[in-house]
This record gives sequence, C-alpha cells and structure tokens, in this order.
Amino acid sequence: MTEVEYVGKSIRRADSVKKVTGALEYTIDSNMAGMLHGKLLRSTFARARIISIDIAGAQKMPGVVAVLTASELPQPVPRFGPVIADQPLLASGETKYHGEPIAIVLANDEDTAAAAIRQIRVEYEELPAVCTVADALRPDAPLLHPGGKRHDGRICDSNVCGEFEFKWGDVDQAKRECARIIDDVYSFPMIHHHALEPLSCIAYPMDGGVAIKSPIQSPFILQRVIASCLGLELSAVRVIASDIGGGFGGRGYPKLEPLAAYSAMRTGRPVKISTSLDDGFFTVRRLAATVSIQTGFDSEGRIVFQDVKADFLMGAYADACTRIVQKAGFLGCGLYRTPNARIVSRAIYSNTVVSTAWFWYAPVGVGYRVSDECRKPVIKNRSARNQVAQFARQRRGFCAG
Amino acid sequence: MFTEQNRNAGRAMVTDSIAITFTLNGATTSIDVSCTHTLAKVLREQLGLIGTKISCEQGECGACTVIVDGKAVNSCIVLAPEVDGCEVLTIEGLAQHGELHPIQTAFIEEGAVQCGYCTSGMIMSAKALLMENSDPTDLDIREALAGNLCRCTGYQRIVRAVSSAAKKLQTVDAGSMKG
Repeated sequence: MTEVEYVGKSIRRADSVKKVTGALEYTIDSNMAGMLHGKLLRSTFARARIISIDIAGAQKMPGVVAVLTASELPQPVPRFGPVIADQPLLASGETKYHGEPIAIVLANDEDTAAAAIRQIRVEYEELPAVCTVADALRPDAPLLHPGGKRHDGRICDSNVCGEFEFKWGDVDQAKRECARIIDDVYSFPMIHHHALEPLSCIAYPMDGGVAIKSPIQSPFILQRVIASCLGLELSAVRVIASDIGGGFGGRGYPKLEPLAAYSAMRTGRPVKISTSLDDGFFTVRRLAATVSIQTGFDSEGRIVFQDVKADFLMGAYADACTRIVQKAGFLGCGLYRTPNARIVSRAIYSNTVVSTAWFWYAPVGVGYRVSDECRKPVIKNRSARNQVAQFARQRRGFCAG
Repeated sequence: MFTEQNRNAGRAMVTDSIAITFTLNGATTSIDVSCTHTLAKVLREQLGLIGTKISCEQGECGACTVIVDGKAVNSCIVLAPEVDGCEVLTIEGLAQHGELHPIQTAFIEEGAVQCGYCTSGMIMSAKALLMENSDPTDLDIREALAGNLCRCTGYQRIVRAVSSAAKKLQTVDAGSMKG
C-alpha cells in the first residue's frame, strides 16, 4: 500500500503554539495607529418611529470624532444583505427590532465612545410589533418591508419573504389510503450562537477603497456585500478573514462590517467596532421555527407520506435566511424514506433580532423533528416502535441490521 | 504604556487613577490604573498582554482566567487596584526561556485546542489546579475547569491534556528529586 502523508498520523495544528501561548491575535485583540472606536446606540423598542435624535451632547465630548445617525448618511440610507439588500447601515425612520443600531459614536478611545453613547437622546413613538410566526402572518399584521422585494423578486405583500415547496408522489391520495395519520406541531426556539470571541471588526481606508479585518466565515460574500452597499468596485474592497474565536454559523454573513467600512471611509481613519458578548444577542441569532408535520403510516407501520409545513421566524432583515429556509426544506423528511411528500418552508419577517444559519444551515429544525415524529407510538409497544424506525432506516440504507 | 489618551478617558469617566505595584509574570510592575478598570482591561490594553481573553465580562466563561497569588481568578471581575502587592501570572508567563510549559505541550499533543479562544483560560485554570494538586483525578480536573467554557465543546480532550500534563510534571518532579 502506498504511504499516505496525513491519513493515520497525528498532525499538529499550524496555529497551536500561538494558541497555547496566547500570542494569537484575534480581531478583538488588534489595534491600529490612529484607530477610532465605534460604539452603537441600539433601539430599545421592537418597532418604533424615530421622532428625533439629539446627538449634541455626545458631539461635544472631548475625544469624540463623529456621531452618525441615519440622517448623516447618504440618502436613501445604504442597505446591505447577502441575498436581499434590506438592512440599513443605521435604522432609518423606523426601528425594526429591539437592539437595532440607530447611531454610532466614533471616538479616540472606547471609554469615551461608550460615555458619549449615553449622552444621545432619542424620542420614539412605539408602534405595534410582530414577534411570533402567528402574529407576523395575521392578515392585518404590520409589514416589515412594505414595497420590499421577496426572495423571488416579487414585491412583499405580507411578511413572507420566501416560500419554497418540494414534493414527490401523491400526498393527497396517500392520505386517503393510509391506515393511520399523526398530526403534530413543534416549535423551535431562537438561540444565540455564543461564540466566545465577542463580535469585533476593524475597517480602514485603503487606496480609495476600504479594507476590513473580521473573523468572517464567508469573506467573499462580505467583499461583495460591502462593495455593493458602498458603491465600490469589488477590487476596492479587501477582506482579511482573521482567526476566528468560534463561529457556529453566526459569523457567516455581514453584520457590523458594512457600518465599520462606511465609518472608516467617512472619517479617513481605521475604525474598530467591538461589541460585548451580551451585545451579540442583539446582533445575530438562529432562526426559530414552527413546524407542522402530518405523517401517514400503513398497517405495517411504514411511512406512506409526510406533509410538512415549516414556518421559520426570521428577524427584521433577511440575512441569508431565505436560502437557509430553502435548504431546510430539502431535508424536511428527515432520515426516512417517504414515498409521498410535500414540504412547504417559509421565511417570515418579524420585529426580532436578525437571524442566520446555525452549523449546517439549520435544517436540523425540520430534520430532527421528523425523525422524532417517527418514533412516536404508532404502535404502542416500544420494541415494535423501534422496529418501525429500524425498518425505515434499512430502507434508506443507513443501517445494516 | 500609560498614554495621555488613557488619562483623558479616566477623566471622562470622572474617576481617579491609582498607582499600583505588583509582580507580573515574575517581574515587578508599577503602573497607574483607573479605579474603574478591570484587571483584564489593564492587562490587555495598558500592558499589551492580549493572551488574556475577554468574553462574557461577568465572570461566567473563564476566558480571562489568570492566577493571582496562586488562585485562578476571572480577571474581568477583579478591579485592577485589587492586585496591588499581589503576584499575577498570565498565559504569557507560562513558557520559560522559549520552552512551552508541559500543560501547553499537552494541549497541543492531545488536540485540546480548537478555535483557541478559551485556551488561555483553560490552561491557567489547569495550572492553578496542578499547583495545588499534583495528582488530580478526572473529577478534580473537571471541577477545576468548571468555570471555563469551551464553545467548540472539546472538553474530553482538554481533560485528557490536563491529566497527561499532570503525569508529565510528576515524572519531571520525581526526576529532579533523584538528581
């Protein structure tokens, strides 16, 4: 047998010495000469009209270089997003989730920036918000993005941003013919990825363009999104994907980088935005879902159909969610061979924190539930129940015995 | 290290600075620190020791663990003035003369390092344990590391690394006693 270079050998991680000595520089550890620190003022309402923002107190503080709100930005406010460019650099007119950035202070040091944030006065008019799938789908629900574009390019006429259907066989006929049908509804909560390294990025002007250092999982998407948001050529945006202190899907797509890039170009200085771990909860979370599953069995306990409706609760902006929800649909039947299936997955906007991927595209939300469904007591006795599950796995080729 | 910028920041926060002297990784260190700054902030921002990581900033995750007078502490909830007169050991003080400490070597050999963000804190908690208990059981190790979160969830290998380091250190100690 030919000698292989890596297989069967213990290979030392290239960066392990730096990691065990603490010498590895994550973005949060990095600094640059003349660097400004950016701190965000976040909305305290899920949905509110911004009546006024008084930044005079913050602007007067020594060490504060700039205070930006939506009205200081180019109009209409630049928006970004990997699939749909729906997220403004700073909330414009209306805040769409609790924690949405509405102002940024750029100061010579972090303490000053944090102190200046506390000097900003915002007057809000609170508006009704939709924070659950049921509320977001009500016919009279306020629209998150009236006039905005859906995943398929159509104009939003509800809070549904993307709708995907996969089917094979004939579910309706199988429903008429099967021996037993089980209906259930599962809810799947929103959770935060909680990478230990708090979100941090540094942007600096470079040759008429901008460079961004960020622990990003998809650097090329970040480059494209920033170029498109700021109206730059792709070649004018350089992304340095720094070492990452945990991602878990939460660092896949642009979050604070576009605002950092804009601030750097605006001030002509490097800008670092570091958030606390708590702040991370206002920046990104996993999709939540309500999944209704109808499963039909024949008299032997074999699955004859699955009818899955998976409604995913997105945040206020699409991020990559429509694509995630589409792929979650692919896996809607879980591990089991299902001769007849219909899976409808929907990505639904709500007044909640921006949602995104979770490890492997978050289809776990659907896939796990379905396999759980199959272990339910079609046949009451446990060994018979296990036989059903085993039978299904064998058919699929996942299990030899 | 103490810049004009820090001084201004101190004033902006309406706090005074205080002069402290402590032993940092074996060397006597005298600096002015803000009364409101944590040990983690001072280590990282004033002294440039970025190996001490900040994460939760509320004493939950252990990423900022350093050793103060022989005890593992969360440096994000220790105010800097508190270490006046103390002996502080950070991850940067572990390797001696370019030689990694056996705990560091064991972390590499056992594959106990993933994203690396918890690693400094894990190693410092392990070091504090082994200073007190040279022959820990797996349970002792788990208890000593209970305050350190690894979000990549590589705990098994971390426990194995600490156990292997303990054995190596015992051999070294036995060797030096014979010699």
